[in-house]
This record gives sequence, C-alpha cells and structure tokens, in this order.
Amino acid sequence: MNDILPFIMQGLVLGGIYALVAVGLSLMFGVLDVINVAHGETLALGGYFMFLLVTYLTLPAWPALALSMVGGFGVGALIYWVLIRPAGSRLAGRSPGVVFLVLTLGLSTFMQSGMQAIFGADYRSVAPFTTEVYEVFGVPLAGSRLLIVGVAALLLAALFAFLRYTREGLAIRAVAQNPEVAQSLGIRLGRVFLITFGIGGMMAATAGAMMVNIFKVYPTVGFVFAIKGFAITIIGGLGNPLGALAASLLVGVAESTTVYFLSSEWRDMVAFVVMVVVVLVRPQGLFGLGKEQRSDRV
Amino acid sequence: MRTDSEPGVLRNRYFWAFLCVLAVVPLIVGSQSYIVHVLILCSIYAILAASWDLVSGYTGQISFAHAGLFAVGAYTAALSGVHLGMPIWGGIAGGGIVAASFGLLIGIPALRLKGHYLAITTLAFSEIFRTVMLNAVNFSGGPFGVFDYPNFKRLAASPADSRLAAYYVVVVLMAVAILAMRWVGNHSASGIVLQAIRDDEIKAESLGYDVKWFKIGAFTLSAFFAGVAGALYAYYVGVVSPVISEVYVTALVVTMVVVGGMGSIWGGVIGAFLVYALYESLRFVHPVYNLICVGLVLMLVVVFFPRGLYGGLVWSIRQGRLATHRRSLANVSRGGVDRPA
Repeated sequence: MNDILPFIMQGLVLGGIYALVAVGLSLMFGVLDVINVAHGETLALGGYFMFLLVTYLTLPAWPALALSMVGGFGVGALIYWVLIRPAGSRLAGRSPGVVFLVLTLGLSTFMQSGMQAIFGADYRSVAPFTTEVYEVFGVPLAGSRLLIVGVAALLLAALFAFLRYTREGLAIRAVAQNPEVAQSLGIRLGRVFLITFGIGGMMAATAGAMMVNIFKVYPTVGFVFAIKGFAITIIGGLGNPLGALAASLLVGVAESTTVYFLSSEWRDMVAFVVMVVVVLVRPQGLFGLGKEQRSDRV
Repeated sequence: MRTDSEPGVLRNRYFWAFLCVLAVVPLIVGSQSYIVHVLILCSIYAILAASWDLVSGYTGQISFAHAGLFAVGAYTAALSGVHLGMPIWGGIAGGGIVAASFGLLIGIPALRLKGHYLAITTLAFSEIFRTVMLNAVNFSGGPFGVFDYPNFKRLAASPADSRLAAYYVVVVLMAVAILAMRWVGNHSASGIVLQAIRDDEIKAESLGYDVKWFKIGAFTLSAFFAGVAGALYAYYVGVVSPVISEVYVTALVVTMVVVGGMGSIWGGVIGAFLVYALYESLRFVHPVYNLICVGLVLMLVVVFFPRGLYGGLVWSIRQGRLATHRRSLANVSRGGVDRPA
C-alpha cells in the first residue's frame, strides 16, 4: 500500500491539470453546445506564453503566469469572435454541432502547424516555480507539482463561485439552461458566449503555463490533453463542470496507478478505455443528469 | 433527393470523363513522373474521403475514426503480408473486411449516442489504435512500423512498369469504390433513409425505419472502404507506421470532403484531388506550411462557403432553374386568364 501512495499523489497532480482542461471544455459545451477541438492548442499557447515571458522578458514566475492567463482569455475570446460567431450566424437552420467540430478541427491543425512554424518543434521549458520538496502523508512531492494542485483548486473554486454568486455567472447559467428565454429576459447572448470562451481559454492556458516546467511545451503537446479532456467530459457527463472535475481526478489517479500496475506506455489509453466503458454502461456520464437538470450544476 | 431531379451536370458522364483523363495522364507525362505519384495518392485519399462522406455527409454522424480505420486497413495488409504471406489482392479485401469489423465494433456502442459522443468516441478509437501499434513492438514494429511485405513493386518486373500497374490498379479500384458509394448514397433505397436521418432523425424513425441499424450499416460500409484505401496505401508506399492513425489524417480527409461538398460522394473526389494536390505542392515551400494551409482552407470554407464546390454548383444550378421557372409562371399569369381585381 505504501509504495502505491506516491502514484496516487502524482495522479492527483495530473488530475488537477486535466480538471483545468476539462472543466473549461465542459462549460463551453454546456453554454454553446460547441466542442472545441482546438482547446489543446490554447493550452500549448499558454505554455508558450509562459516560456516567452520568462525566457525573453525575464519576468518572475507569478506575473508571467498572470499574463499567460490573460493571454489565454484573449485567445479564447478571439476564437469565439473570429470563428464561432461568424460560423454560427451563417448556419441558417442546419444542425450546428457538425459545423463547429469541423471548424475547430481546422483551427486545431492551423494552430498546431502555426506554432511549429513560429516556435519550431523543440521542447521548451522554464525553471520550476520552486525547487523545494515537501512531504505529504510521508510522500515527498516537488513543490512545483503541489503548486499545480493549489492553483488548479483556487482557480476552479473561483470559477464555481463566479458562476454561483455573480450576475455574469447567473447569466451564463441561464444561457446554459435555455438560450431563448435568457435572451428574452435581456441577457446579451454574444457577451455570455464571449466570456464563456474566454474563461475556457484562460483555464487551458493556465494548465499549459503551470506544466511547462514539468512536461515541457511543444506544438503538439496540447492535443493529447484535449482528447483526454473530451474523454473526461464524457465520463463526467457532457456540460456538467462539477462532474468533469470529479472525472479528472478519477482519470488522473487511474492513469498513474496504471503506471504502477502495468507500464507507462499504456497510460495514455486509460482515459479512453474508461470512457468507452462509461459510454456503454451509463451514456449520460457518471455524474450526468438529464438535460433539464443540467443547468443547476453549471 | 432523386437522381432524375438533379441537373445534367451531375450525371455520371463527368466522372467517366474524369476517369478517361486519369487513364491517359501517365501516357502523356510518363510513368516515372511525380504527377503519377501524386495522382495515385489522390485516388487513395479520394476513396477515404468518399467513405467519410458516406457516413458523415449522408447521415450527419461525424466520425473522427477514419484515420484509425485507414490505419487498420494498412496494418492488416502489411501484417498479413509479413506473417501469413498474404497476396496483394487478399490484403486489399482483408484490409476492408477487418476495418469493417472494427467499424461494426465501434458503431454498435457509439451510434446509440448522438453527434458529439460519436465524434469523441471515434477520435478515441484512432488514438487507442495508434497507441497499441506504437507499443506492441513485437507485433507491429512499434514506431518504425512494418515494411518488407509484398507490395505493388511486385506487380511488374521493372520499377517503371510496376508504378504504372499500381497507378491503374488504384484508379480502377477508386472508380469502383466511388461508384459503389454513390450508388448506395443516392440510388439505393437505403440512401434515401440515410439522408432522411441527417435531415430529421426523429421523423425518419417515426416513419418506421430502424434508424440505429441504418447508421451502423452506413458506418460499417464506410469503414470497409476506409480499410481498402488503407490497404492500397500500404501496398503503394511500402511502409506502415503509427503516424497514419494520427488526427491530421482525419483533418486532411474532412477538409477534402468539406471543400468538395458534403453529402454527394463526388464532392469527396473533387476535394481529394484538389486538396491533396495543394498539400503536396506546398511541401516544396516548407513541410509545415502545407498543414497550416489545410487548417486555413478548412476554416475559410466552413465559414464562407459551407456547401463546398460541388454543393455550391448544385445549389446555383437549382437557383437558376427556380428563377427560370418563376419567370415563366409570371408570364403565364400576366398573359393568361383575367384575375379578379
């Protein structure tokens, strides 16, 4: 039991990163019914922001993280402004899901190769926030990994508080529940969509910026996080951010215990295997609710 | 959408003309030309693109599994060649059949679910297959892939002749596959049901069609052709590695169909030849820019030209006919019977 504990702790760290990715995805799906295939590229871009700010502008870590988060919000908002809104307004009654999937798939390819053209294919890294090692339940854990959990927890708590206690958050929840009624009550849909995409982008960029010193950043780094994020949102129930959070921790721990029991090569399959099982047994997700109740949990 | 209501430009004779052009190209440019090489790959991608169109364009179920199914076909051909000494023809059929069984296997759970779930589950399939091929080194050769299996180079004695033979084999199989898919999609009884599912699934179901099995059937058939395309790719290129199960293959194929026009099969063919030629010629500029371009083209077409080339053509011809029809109706009512004031 004692030798599996470190793996569980590492799994929770991993789960923290997945949560930042998956909760954003789930929120965007809940509000706009859009699955953003380019979400992973926003994460990679966040990592590059961090790398550039720390390496070339020699900023300290925390201001660089804050700026990367702002940058991520900008990227998310830009994706909505430049792509999603124009495509949505040209839909003319066709089923929208198809269009946005294809559209963001194009964006994902574009951003991935674009980053490769600009930054090259090299693996980039920055110095860790802190080099200290702490002991948690008798398990030594690097401070920079603990910080990931801390930042993820803070940001997620802030997000859920924002959704529950502010007027903007109320507007987002209202739109997730019923866009037509929300609009007729005077909520500006475009603004809600823009903020939602901005928040999604910011969360992804935070994940990217926080993990630069552990996983490094390269143009295709985000993709695997994005597809695991999709799997996690399905495990947790599409459009249910709290479910996504729980599923992230579950998948993170499942992955690192797989490394313990099998080997690290098979780690990347865990999320998909769990997802397939969930889809077969409980298609609405582990924590999924009916569509009518979904908005209560946003 | 019956065939006889379609404008003349869409009848098969244009496809036949296109095939005639393809047939004489190697005689003009010479069998060792780079153009022949590109056209072989275009034809292989045309099968793959059309197979994606058959499930996603016709039934509206977005599949991201086609990179994986393509890879299944390619690995089946290559591995059966290495381990069983499977001849080329058996490998092409086998690639299709194994991919179709995978299609059935994914389709049964995934197609019970609606759009987004299917897209993600099928994306996961491509990734799972890639991971397995990457890590099962003893079986699949791992990251270096499989090589040294019977391929199209054995079709003739000299390299030049076998390239030419490969070209005609691929083009003929492409023509057969495309016509078969077009027949299923537009001329068979089930094709109408598939289009009805895309337009209004609940209404189609209320008419008594077992929607689920139509979708699974379309997906399985589509997987079969994707597998055939994969096997042809394996035999032509001579190396199969996990790279072909990566998502950029899906992005490329989706771009082809969206550019050409979804839900027509012809659109997939048009898109495959145009997009792959663009992709290949941009390689001379820089290997990264061709994918930047694929992404950019995909986004621009989806936003500004969602019908695609073929779809846009059909639409503008229909609009033209509608206008003529309205004009003649207006003439009749002006010159005809007195209407009450």
